[in-house]
Amino acid sequence: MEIRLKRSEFLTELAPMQGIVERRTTIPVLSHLLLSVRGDRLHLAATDLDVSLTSWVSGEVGREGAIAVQAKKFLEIVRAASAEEVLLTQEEERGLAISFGTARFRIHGLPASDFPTLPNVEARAEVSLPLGRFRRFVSKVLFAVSSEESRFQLSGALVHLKEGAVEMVATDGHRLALIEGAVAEAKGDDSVLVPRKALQELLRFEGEEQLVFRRGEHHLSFVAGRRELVCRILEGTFPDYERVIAKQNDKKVLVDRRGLGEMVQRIALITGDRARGVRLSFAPGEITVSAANPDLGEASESLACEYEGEAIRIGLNPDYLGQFLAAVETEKVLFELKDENSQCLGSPLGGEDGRYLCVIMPMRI
Amino acid sequence: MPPASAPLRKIVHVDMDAFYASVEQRDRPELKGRPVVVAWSPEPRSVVCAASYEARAFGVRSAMPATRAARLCPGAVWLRPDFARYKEVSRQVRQIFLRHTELVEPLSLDEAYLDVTVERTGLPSATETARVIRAEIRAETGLTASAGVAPNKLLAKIASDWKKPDGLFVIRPHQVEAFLAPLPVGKLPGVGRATERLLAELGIATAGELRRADPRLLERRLGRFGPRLVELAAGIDERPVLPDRPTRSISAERTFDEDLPAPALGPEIERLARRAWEGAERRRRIARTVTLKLRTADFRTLTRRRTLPHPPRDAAEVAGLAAALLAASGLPAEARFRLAGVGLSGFADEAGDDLQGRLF
Repeated sequence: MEIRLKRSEFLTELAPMQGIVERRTTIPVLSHLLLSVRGDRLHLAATDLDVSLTSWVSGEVGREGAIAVQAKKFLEIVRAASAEEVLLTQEEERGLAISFGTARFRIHGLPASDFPTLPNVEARAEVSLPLGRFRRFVSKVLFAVSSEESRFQLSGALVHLKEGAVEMVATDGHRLALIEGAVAEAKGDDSVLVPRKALQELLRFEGEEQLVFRRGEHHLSFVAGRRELVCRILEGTFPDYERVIAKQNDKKVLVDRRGLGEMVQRIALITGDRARGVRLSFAPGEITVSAANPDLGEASESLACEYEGEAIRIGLNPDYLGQFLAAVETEKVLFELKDENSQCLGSPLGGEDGRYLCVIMPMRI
Repeated sequence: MPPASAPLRKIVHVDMDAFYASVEQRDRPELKGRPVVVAWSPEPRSVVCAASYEARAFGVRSAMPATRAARLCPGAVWLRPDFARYKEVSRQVRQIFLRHTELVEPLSLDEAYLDVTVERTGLPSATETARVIRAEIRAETGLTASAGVAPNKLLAKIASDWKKPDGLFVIRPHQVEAFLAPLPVGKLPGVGRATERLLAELGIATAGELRRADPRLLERRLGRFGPRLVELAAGIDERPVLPDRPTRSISAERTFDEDLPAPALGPEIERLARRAWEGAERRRRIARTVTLKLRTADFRTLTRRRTLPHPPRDAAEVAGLAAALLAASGLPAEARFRLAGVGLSGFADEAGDDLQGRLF
């Protein structure tokens, strides 16, 4: 293969590939990118066998061909290139020359035939969603996705397409985030578990174009512009989440979102360790956040809030609370509580999302 | 403070039999009983990824050049690897492991170490656990696996190879010495053909002979691997099973050039404490438990640990605690040491997990 490319255009498509490539892998070819020149384009592909990403850039083609190259080094070299144009020339089955200005790198690669065949998603129907809105939904629940390997079915978010609406839910067993909002383009009634890595990479898709979503037997495809992300569907039963969202938490507190968020972050400083909890004490008209660390000392701070019920205290993980408050955009946030052993249910007051909530289980302090 | 040395561990090594080839034979019944070679292509630079037992009968082995395999077994069915499918099955097998212990260390798609010292489902022994795991793998994936049960990773891995395929082999602590004595040195990890030849020149063919060899001589001939090799031959392997998740302990240890008496350990312990402390700082972990590990000149290993109500403040405090543990170790004053280590564990954020309420 031989192709001359505009470096900046090339980098735009090359850089996101890095997120897909596995850092530690027992299968060497998975640390590689597949480069193939066909027609007037260079096609790029990266995969970790669960999630794959493809894209392309056009260039001045000398001859067609394909090779797999070590992703990290290749990206570093192209990124470091000092000229506007980069010339890629395959010298044999396993060698690629990267030339720019007077520089010439010759790197070893693997035969393109060693690169895994990427799944072909054969879907009957496709749904087109506004990319910006999809990204927004993802960013509201991603923090609650589990990173524990032993809870496989929680290592992704449930994406539920409804007639005119999209719902996304994520939980790690300690907390749960749910968003549901009108999306005129959505149709049908179908839910699927999307793995965390796919969601993370979709967040990096830029632009405001449409995201075309297709579901195959084992895989999902997301296409936006020239990029396509394909991921394996997470198998497993997502828990019955509606059941755990409290309906009868009678103590309702309205508080300034930003003020509370900053306060929790400050007080958490004294805990010295991310998993040690902070205590939230609610009294009529006032919320106090406090924490104690036997090694260091203690801290507390108060903020006015709208609350009229009896005094109640609850221990929470400050990270869980902070991540939720950071995802909310409204000025005020509503907390619904029952007692110190029951969940804390938070939601924005108003806002553009139809239904957005976060359930956080308490911590014993 | 527990007075005894570290409790006996129960380690299982599980190795899927001819994994890639077996998955292919399972999914394509017409391949059952036929020699199957999984490789990119039978071309010169390609190597064999996996060979079914039928192909192995012809001498085909994994990592062998494909051309050689083609010569040895002209009738073989050649298949391109489908890693996505293997990974899926591998994950299924991993889920089976995780039912029994969270301490699972995958080595590749087809083998893993499990620490079943504490078993989740209440099975009475490691042998029984290995038996159940093999049965579950067979029932749920239709594939066979071999397992080795032993007090450490080294022996568990040798054991899983012992009755392969579809076998289970157990090395109990009291059998270790008798098992190792006649074992050819080539069975020890890290001993390839070159080392084997070198040892043969020294008149060493078995692990038993290796264990009795002069460590200084071995070190001269094999460098730093020499003394380690003597440990391996003695069945000593304290590497923990490291699951793919946050570190449970951070430690530093050192084997001395020559055995040291207790009074000379002080500065060494200080250095080790500093290294362990820095390791924990780098990972932003706060530990409450300090462990001192010692190995005497006669290969006895003991650990002493102490958990504090509050985490130590700096490396000096860790060193002080480790020195106090040494003083209270109850070892005779004339004892000499070949190794010392200082470890930190009992991290604060782990303790927090029990305090955190659950939704599901």
